[in-house]
Amino acid sequence: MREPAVEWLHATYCIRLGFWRRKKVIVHDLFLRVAQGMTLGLIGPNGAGKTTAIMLGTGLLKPDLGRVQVAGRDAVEAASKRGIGCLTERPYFYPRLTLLEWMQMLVGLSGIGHSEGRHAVEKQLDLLGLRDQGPLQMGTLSKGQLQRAGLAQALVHKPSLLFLDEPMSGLDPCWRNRLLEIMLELKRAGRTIVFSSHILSDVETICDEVVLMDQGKLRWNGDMSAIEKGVRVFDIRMKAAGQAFLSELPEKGVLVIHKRGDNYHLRVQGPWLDKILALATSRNIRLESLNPVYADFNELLTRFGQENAGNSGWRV
Amino acid sequence: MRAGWGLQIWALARHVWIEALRERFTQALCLIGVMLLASSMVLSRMAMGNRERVIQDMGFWVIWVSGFLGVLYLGSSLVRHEIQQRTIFLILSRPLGRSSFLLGKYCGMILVLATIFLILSTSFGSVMLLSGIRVNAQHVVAGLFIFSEWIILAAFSVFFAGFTSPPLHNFFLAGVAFLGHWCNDLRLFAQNTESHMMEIVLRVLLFILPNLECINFRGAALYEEPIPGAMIAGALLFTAAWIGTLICAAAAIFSSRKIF
Repeated sequence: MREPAVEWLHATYCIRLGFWRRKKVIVHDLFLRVAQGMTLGLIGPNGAGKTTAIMLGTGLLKPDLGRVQVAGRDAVEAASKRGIGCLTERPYFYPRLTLLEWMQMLVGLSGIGHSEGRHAVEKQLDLLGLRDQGPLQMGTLSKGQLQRAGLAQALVHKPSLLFLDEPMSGLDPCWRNRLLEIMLELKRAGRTIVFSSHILSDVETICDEVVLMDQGKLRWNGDMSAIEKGVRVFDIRMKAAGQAFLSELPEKGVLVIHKRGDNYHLRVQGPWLDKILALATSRNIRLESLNPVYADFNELLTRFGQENAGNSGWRV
Repeated sequence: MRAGWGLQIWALARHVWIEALRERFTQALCLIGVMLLASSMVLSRMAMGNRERVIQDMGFWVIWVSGFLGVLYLGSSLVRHEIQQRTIFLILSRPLGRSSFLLGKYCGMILVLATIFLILSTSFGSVMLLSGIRVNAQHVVAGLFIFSEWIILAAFSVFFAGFTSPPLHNFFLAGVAFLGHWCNDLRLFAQNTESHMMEIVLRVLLFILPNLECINFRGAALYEEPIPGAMIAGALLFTAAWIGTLICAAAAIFSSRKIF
């Protein structure tokens, strides 16, 4: 068992709202451990508490109850943040500083010396295609450029633990793909990544484990490989002379998607696969393809939403 | 090679300095200050009698007011702006404690104030030389202690910014700046008042306010009176004690505060 890089130990975070300072729970009793080298995806609807969970992890917020630890240390401690890189939901910047000055300030705040820092800044700006924007004031940069600048500052001090809050937000398709590649490279290099996203295909591509959050609570936590192994149905394409065999198929568990001439496209649930195969052998039906269809992430979310419809009303 | 805490404070202070110098307010403050100092040469000609005294009085006053306005402006947005714009997240996501954050901001304020002071004091010196007034050691001491008054007010500003809104910050800071110069009068009033309640209120005020007249050597500069070394040492100690106390208190309050 690898050592946890970050752990939320029954962490609860509340804010106070309105004139009477009523308490609103944003994250409720979150218990989660992220092992070193793991990539964890946080998903959930807006207001689920993903951003707050990330901020608790980075030590920017202190839990009201419970603890959050980074490599065994309290996340709020300044020393815990030495190995953390953080990309916030919105890129927070100083409009009058140039991109280079901003990066040099953040490198300095990470405690890196001037010459080493300058080299690191140039390398990150190159990696994220921002070298030409270096001398420009940040108020003049586009949303996508600011997002890339945010990622550059998160990576510049070579952190071992990365918190990325919606990193693809505001990026064009080209940079989205490039960012996916960068994240996969970081993953291969053994960095621990915690990131939130609404783009499920990205989560599916990168993550080892996924956490579903809703209304500040952890609803489901699972291994991506476990999800992929769950075969939902089999997709079958066959060629058959005549429709007589259709009457022998069970009403439930087999779905005829379409029929074009002698070609049939069926979806068959697991228990009926043997019957279909036996039928194909006995009736001289030519089986052209048989593919397992895995339960995908969208379906998992939909199922989760339906199961919890009574409680949260969440639909995916 | 990783450098330490000093580098972090410098990085933060440098950014405050660059940002402030690019702000129109700071540029306008310096420009108006220089124009007012230059105008004292014209205004002094309209005065009856002591022309030299008008130029010096006005010069010291313009420098003091410019610094006070600078502290008021920089301090009111010092922490609140960072929280509202959420740029504080960016800074605190680095291995930097909240007390270091405040210290870095304070050092940045001192850099900005030093720049303003340098511009205005150079202009004041030039005006004096052009008007044929001899610049003596007392002028230098008086000028430097105007700057030390600014940095005491900046420490108060950091202290108030840690827990109040900008309007309250400005109100408290103005209170400290003006009442601080009336401390000697308040002491006299406390000794002579017949109301016991008023005496208690005044004594509490005297206890919590810095007596800024302790570091006011403008009169000595005006009349070319010698300033004893012990008095300068006392004024330096006074400045260091107030700054140290206020920054420690500000760090303690801000560190325990829930930002969001």
